[in-house]
Amino acid sequence: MIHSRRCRLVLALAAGAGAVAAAVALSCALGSQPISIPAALAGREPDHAILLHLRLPRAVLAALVGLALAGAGTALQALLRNPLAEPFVLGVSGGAALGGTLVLLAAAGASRLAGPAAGWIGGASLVAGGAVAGATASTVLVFGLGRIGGRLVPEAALLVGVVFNAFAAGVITLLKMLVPPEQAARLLYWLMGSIGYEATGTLAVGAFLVTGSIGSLVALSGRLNLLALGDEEAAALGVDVRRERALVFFAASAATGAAVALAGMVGFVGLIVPHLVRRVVGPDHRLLLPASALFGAAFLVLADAAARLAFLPLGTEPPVGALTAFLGGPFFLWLLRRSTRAGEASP
Amino acid sequence: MTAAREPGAAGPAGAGAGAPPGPMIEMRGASFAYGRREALEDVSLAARAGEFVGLVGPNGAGKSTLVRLAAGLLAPSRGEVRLAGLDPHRAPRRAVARVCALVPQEPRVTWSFTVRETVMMGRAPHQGLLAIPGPFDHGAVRGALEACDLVALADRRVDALSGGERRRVFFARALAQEPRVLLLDEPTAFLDLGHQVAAMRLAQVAARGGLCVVAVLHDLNLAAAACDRLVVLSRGRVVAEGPPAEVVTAERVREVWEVPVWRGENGATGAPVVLPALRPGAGRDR
Amino acid sequence: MRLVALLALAATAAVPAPEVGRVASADDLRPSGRGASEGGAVWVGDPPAAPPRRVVALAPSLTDVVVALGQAGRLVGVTRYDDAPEVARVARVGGFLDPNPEAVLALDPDLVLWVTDGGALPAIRKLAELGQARRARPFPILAIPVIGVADVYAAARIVGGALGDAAAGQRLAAELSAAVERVRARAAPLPRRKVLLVVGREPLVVAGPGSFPDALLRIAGGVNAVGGERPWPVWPLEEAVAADPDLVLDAAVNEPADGISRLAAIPAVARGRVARLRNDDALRPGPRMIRGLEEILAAVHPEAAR
Repeated sequence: MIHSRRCRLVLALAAGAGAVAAAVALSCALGSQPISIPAALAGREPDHAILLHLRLPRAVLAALVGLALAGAGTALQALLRNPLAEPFVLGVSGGAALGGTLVLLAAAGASRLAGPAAGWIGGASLVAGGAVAGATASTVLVFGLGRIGGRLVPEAALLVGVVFNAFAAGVITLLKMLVPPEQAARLLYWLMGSIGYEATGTLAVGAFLVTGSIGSLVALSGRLNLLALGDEEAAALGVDVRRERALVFFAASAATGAAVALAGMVGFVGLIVPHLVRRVVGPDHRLLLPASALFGAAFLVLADAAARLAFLPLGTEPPVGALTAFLGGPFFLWLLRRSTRAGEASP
Repeated sequence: MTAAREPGAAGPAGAGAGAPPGPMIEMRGASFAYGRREALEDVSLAARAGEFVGLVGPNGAGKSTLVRLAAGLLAPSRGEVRLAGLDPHRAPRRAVARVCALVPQEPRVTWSFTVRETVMMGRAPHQGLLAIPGPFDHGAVRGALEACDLVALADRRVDALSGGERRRVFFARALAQEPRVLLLDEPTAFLDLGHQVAAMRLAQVAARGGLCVVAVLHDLNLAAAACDRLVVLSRGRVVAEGPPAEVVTAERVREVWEVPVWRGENGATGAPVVLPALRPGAGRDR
Repeated sequence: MRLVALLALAATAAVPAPEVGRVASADDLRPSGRGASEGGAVWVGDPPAAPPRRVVALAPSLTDVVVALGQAGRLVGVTRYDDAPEVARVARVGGFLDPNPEAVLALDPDLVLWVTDGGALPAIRKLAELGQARRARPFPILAIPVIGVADVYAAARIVGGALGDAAAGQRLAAELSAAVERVRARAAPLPRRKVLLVVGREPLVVAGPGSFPDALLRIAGGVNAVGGERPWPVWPLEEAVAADPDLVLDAAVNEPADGISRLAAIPAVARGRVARLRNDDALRPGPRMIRGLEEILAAVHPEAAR
């Protein structure tokens, strides 16, 4: 019994890590310029620079974002006891994007007043902080408003989340008109969700936030099993529901905030991946959460590579958020049909 | 006050040495209101270890509310609630869960765990954050599975079981908690007669093993047959308390349930039996 | 007329070439708000020791400058928006807002020209980082903010200097300046006309004060119907109607010409006082602005056209 569970965990984690490694390798090998990996590793230019300084950091970025979103999605699904929950649908990504946008706006305004020296406001850490704050605020809002008669009702929370998303997107669009045109283009890419080329410092901040928050969620994954039973049952089993739920919320918000700060509003990763992984790994969150996170990382790396390659003939790259929405929208509808047909939200 | 852990104990853990004297559940003048609606008014009762107490009464009498008060899921607006000496609402949930197990009316089955995994979740109050099971945990789970006759089903998925089997699983989960107090909210609802009787037997065995068992029951006859003591609730108040033979009378039933009945005695066991005053074919001609 | 041109030539020759600053690292690269003529241009990395042979231009206007300097042969990479016939065979490296660093690297450049703009900043920063990290043959990025007309002259001088032919740069700057002054002189005695320059029809996007076409408009003797501070405002149609311009310049060159009739609420459109620009020369702050300027002049003051 013990062996089987530990075996399963090790197996799942190994498979996940393998998937990430394979995805990163593939993403590094494919791109607009044909390069030879052996030559690149031997130091030949431009292969070396393209592989190690362009493709690899980009793949790492995509992996971090996918890790964060899939992990947060799994946690939110446990809390809401509903497989349709995930950071984008629940409006958490929208809140994060809004928070980050406000920081960028402050940076633009401060630059105008105080000159380029104030540009540090738009630096990675502060934008990430704004995004996390925005994510937390929207989580509080959605889970606070998604109550009927004092009890958290998943369908109500989802509705509030969808509406909040629209609200956040609308506000960002309005704010887009207030910023100089060059910032506006950037905001648009943020709204759609795109993996770009970020500075190493930004990657480091992002990695720190993501690993910290997903690590916390993994530590809380045993609790998630209990919370998924329902508030009363969890309480009867000794869980301080309020506190644990708040901890999980905050960790999921931090993960989402970091993901949005790094890549904008990429949606549906937290929906597709946990659902598929749950079918293989089962419902135990101690297995499911780390496995989802790892496969989420692999998923987004591959999606980014696919997005880049699909548009190669056109000489441009679509934002990866467009691809995940393209895949995720129909998936969401299919899940919705399945759950309403089953009568109860169970996979 | 934490339960004294007996290593390797099979079956429902008894009170054993170190059981506190006095009632396990004690309520004095407890009241609760949902908003402005008074659900319970001035309820006083006590339940002891080794007792099987049945909570009966019409719908909306406040039975489920009372059980939740006892478990500490609700706080009384007035009065006092004590569970094994603790204030169940104020005390840390973990401490309360080590003493008291609650089997809710309709436990939700959202994710498809196996029977064994579900019962193992009952060990949560005794485990760390990641709930990695230790030898005590395996022992307790094994005992609970045996007591509920679930060993053969141990590796089946819970959502593939029948309603009756599922009830046993959640009962086993409660037993795995090694509690001193077992609270059952309508353990026989929607079960057929065979499963109802089986559920009652399990509760009795648990009480015999030293637990204080309190069950909300809607079937008066079943309650009268199985319980050591009955507490009758009506409109949020305790209107009667005592052994079934004393409590279940025709007048009482007419007064509380507002229905005329014939009251008799089970010849074999001596337990009171009530039957509604209905006849086939009645009401056909007026 | 000649006198004016000579004076202009003298004036520009007397002005020293503007300073091009240096930034230590790519992280310090950001729009400073100053145009190239005010010293806003910066090198990221060391200027090339020898005249560069493999130049990548990340903006069509800078491509035009290189072509006008006669150095089209040195270009190895341009954006996909470049339509100059001289660069028809040159590799494309992405767009204005989304240059592809991989493609640029693969071309092994020794100079990258860029119009300082916030949109592509992260990608350019990455490219600058890589350019400096490349041991064997580092390449610099020359970031030139081209905002106004004077910046175009400065760009010509700066690019000329960067390519190792400062004299050609000065000549080009002088020619451009002279051409602009000629137009200014022709327009000077003519009555001011109120003009609305439309870049997008639905929604109505117009060139406001501070945008490049606005500067050309003023040189050509027009008065911008649009007030306010924003260079590219989305204008309510009602305000356009209330402003009642004498002329509507249709610069939505990618949309069909007859679509302008949808703005018929504006009296000028109803009266047929619409002039359509042939192409986007007036929107590109580069050597082509001359052609755009002359087109605007012809539209605003038909009587001056000869």
